[in-house]
Amino acid sequence: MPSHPLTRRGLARLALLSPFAAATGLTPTPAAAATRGGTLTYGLQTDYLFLDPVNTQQNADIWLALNIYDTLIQPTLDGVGIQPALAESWTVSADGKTVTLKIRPGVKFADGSPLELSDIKWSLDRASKKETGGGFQFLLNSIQSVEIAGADTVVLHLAQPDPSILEALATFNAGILPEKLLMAAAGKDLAEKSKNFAEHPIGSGPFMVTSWSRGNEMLLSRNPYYWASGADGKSLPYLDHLHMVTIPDDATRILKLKAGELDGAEFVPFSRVAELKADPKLNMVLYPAAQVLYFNIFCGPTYKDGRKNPASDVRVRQALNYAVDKQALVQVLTYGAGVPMQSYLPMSTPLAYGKGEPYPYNIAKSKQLMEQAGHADGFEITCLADAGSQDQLTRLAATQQMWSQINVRLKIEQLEHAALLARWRAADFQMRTQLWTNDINDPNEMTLRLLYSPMIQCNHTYWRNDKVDALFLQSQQETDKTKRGALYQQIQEIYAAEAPMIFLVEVPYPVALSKKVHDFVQIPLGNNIFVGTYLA
Amino acid sequence: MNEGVTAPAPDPTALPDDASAHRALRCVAASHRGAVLPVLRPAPVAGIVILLLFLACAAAPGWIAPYDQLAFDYRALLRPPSLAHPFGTDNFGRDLLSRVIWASRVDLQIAIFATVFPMVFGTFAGCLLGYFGGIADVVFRRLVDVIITIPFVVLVIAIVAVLGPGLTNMYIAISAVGWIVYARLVRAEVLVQRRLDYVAAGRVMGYGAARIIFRHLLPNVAPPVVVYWMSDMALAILLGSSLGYLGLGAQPPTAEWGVQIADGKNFITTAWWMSIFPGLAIVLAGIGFSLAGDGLAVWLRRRD
Amino acid sequence: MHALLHVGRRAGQIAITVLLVALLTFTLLHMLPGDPAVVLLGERATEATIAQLHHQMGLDQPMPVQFWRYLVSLATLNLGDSLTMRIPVATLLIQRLPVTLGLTCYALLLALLIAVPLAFAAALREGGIADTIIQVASQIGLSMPVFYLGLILLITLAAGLGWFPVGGIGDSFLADIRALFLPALTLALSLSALLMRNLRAALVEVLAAEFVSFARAKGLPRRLLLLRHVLRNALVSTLTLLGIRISGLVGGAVITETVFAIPGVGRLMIDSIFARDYAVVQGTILVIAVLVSLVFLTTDALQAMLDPRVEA
Repeated sequence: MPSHPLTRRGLARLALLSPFAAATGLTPTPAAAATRGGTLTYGLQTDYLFLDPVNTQQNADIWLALNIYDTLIQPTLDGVGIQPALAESWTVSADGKTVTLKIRPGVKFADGSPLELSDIKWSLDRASKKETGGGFQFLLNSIQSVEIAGADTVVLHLAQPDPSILEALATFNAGILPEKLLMAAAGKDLAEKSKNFAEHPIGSGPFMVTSWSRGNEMLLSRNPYYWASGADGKSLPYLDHLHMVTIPDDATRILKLKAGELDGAEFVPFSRVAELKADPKLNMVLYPAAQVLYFNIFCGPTYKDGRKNPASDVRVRQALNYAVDKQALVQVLTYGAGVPMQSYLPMSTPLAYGKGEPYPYNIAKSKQLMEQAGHADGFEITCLADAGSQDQLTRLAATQQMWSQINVRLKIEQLEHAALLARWRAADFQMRTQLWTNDINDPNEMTLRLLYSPMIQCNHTYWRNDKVDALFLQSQQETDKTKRGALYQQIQEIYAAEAPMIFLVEVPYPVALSKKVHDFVQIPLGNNIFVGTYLA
Repeated sequence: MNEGVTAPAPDPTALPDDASAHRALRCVAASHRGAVLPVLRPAPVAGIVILLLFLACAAAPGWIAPYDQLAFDYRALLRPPSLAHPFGTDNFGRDLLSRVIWASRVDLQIAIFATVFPMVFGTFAGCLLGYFGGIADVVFRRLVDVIITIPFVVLVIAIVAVLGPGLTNMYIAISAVGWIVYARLVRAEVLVQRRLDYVAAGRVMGYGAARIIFRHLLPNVAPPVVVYWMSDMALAILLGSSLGYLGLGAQPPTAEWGVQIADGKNFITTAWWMSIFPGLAIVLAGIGFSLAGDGLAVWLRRRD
Repeated sequence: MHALLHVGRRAGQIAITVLLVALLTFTLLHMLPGDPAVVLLGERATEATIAQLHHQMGLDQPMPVQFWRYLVSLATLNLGDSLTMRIPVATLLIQRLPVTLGLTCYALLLALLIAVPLAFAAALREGGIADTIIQVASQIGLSMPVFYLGLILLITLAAGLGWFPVGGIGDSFLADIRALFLPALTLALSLSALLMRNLRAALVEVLAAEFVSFARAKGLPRRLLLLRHVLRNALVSTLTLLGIRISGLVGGAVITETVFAIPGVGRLMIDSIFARDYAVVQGTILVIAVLVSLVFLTTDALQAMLDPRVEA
């Protein structure tokens, strides 16, 4: 899901995916010396809005969810695999239509009440039904019914084989909630109950919300009943409290971190990474992220005002791609730590396929394509950007310079985020800058939105390719990984050749931590994992 | 625009005792005591010099600026102030002195465009409202009640959000609210003047309302309006740069002081010059307008 | 009886003002391009999820129905629920309003503490060196953008010297006093420059006025003279100025709160405009309008008390 800032101050989203990024917490077992207790104060860019994982909307909420709500399966900390959580083990039937999960015994919610199999059935039923499943229901769409089979077993019956069902169970919206507590919340219907419950959320995850002052701060305390144990044999988490403080202004957030008032801060602007790396009191970490930064190009034949769209010609889109020096962008935008995109998918996504940049910088080729398309004299194209976002301006200013070589005049139109989204959705745009972060460790979520035309006209670009649509539908039922991989390779090759986007860079998550923070990790899907974090 | 400056209170005592119609018709209401700075004799001169400096920059930035304000130089990123770059360079290697000079064109434009319409329309409206009163005046007073309870910045931001960011829309937003201040000021002034003998004399002499308003009332209410306008221009720069700072004003790559401060904010601990110099330009321009305005006020008062 | 009638009439006026503010903000907000549901859902919005959210937010109703519902709930003092945070706007305001009110009062206090002594110092020796320096300083104060001053104070006094916490608020009254000092000072500076100039001008005028000379001739001690006559007269104009400036002060708080990461209503209002959280913007502006109207009422009353010439 997108991580365009809700607040316009959301800068610094482009980062660089360094292969050597020092992720501190990749090893799930911390040193035996892990100390217990203490409060970690963490600076957020955006406050949480709504902590019911099924009805949640924004990245911040999603990235916190796993600390409050357990899922049956968890993503591993390196983000590439899955590992047991509430389910100790699982099997998928040969026809791919039945998933049998053995549930960990004795798990309790943070209020001390036992987590029952009925909570699991209720939670998954709610998350997978169209009427109740919220914005991410499609990830669990294949679930037809959830059956409690014995004292410790839950069986999922699928409508059709689903190659990504296990990854979907490891995604935040498949979190397990206490049915009794939620249904006991005030409200006349499920939506209202969910709303009131989300004010004081209780799950079986390592932390629970103790107090919350909106737009300001949230205090989370350790769940004394959490099921997993640390290296010392006692139950996790190590920290007593998490103090999440919202400071939308990047500069202020970093000043607070440097002054020692915060132990960690997210969304460090890339322009400051080098400075913070040099600070002896801080650990500047670039966590590998399933996150790509690109320009979306409107591909329809004419613009909203009736003018002919030069970018409806595939040669023009290719030319624009060739004319962007991605290596230089990596330097300017990410100060050297990012990598150029190879596919529309972040390369850490399973089945991502790429053989280097699809359009290596080549002005001669670009000019040639422009000439073939009849645009040797260039044209003017306007790109929408979020008002006040320095990062977007930086990347556009650099592109402006690069494209001037092929006579393309790039105009920047800054809009407030809400107005920008409205224009984009109405397909009233020529270009816009976009950042995508995967929510599930599977290529399907992104492909659905960017390439499968019935969904949202391929990210509102009005590009469409019937073959890609067909291949995608086929891939959604293909449980054989090799065959699915072949389908995805085809999809990615077609997309790269058609170029409905300007392929730019893959960017990591820049997080700065005080040296006393150990074993915190932000996984490639963005989730902040505090369960094994300790202060020393 | 209203933030920061009081509307000078009409002061009937400042009117001449001898109220023969003809003398009174030429009299100038010196009723702007709040904005008077009679101390610094050289001050108005300094103000005018500052304004001329900025005007020169705005008129011919290409001649004055040492570099192309838009040219990137990746070999000279974030350079501190030096002889080659007196204000340093930004994160694209652009020369900041050149950008500050070019920005003066945009910011002076803001000072003028965001205030001329409110001044002209507001003065006109204020004259009519004050002279005729009636339903329109009642409606206006209600409008004022409503507008003054909402913070000006918030109102302008909301209107800019409706229209979309950019300089033109910012002018529209500021004008949509700003005229009310002028109208209020002029209306109050007219209410006072209307009761004075010279207006009565005008009526006696059989002049029409239009003639009394334009030929006689207007010249009398003009001086405080012009004095207020000077400080309003300084306020327009402050507001314009605030909106630019929030991303709602001038659009890049256009250099504007507020935008430049925002650009530099993330570099503030490592490249302080990126924000500091544009900010100094704002302060200096504000002082220029303010000193010149004070000087003007004194001059207008003396002229009587 | 007369006074009661007067208060009643003013209360009626305030009620009408608030109603008009409600109408104005409602109209303005619903003219905004963009849609709270789309902002929330962001890049992943689909027709179905948007429709679902619209229904939850009550945005699927026709505009007049929405406004009518809004007025009805207002009549019962219900400001509605935030569209994005899904909690009552009143709850939000209860959390945020004290912060902004505290900040504003703090700024007002600082402004007076700065302005009054300086105005006296300047006025007593009109044209002297102190006067000149104070005048120049006030020019700078008036021309300083709030966001610029805030940034400078933040990097020098807070981040640099560590005298103050970098933004945010404290967890106790004393901690708040320390944490809010810089933001309050930021807000106070331009106001104090304005107050100082105004007060100084008033003092100069009053000192020159006849009754002071008369009192002096009568042999009243100079200090008493200043206190009794000068201060009283000067205060009237200062009060008028403060009344006029109060909504400007709240406006300044909007930007100050953003720079200093203070969870007040100013930041809430701006964030909510950008998020198209209509309910929060409306509620906040309404409450501010009521408060500002009350301030006007108070300054009017104080003026009447201090200056018998002003008709209450």
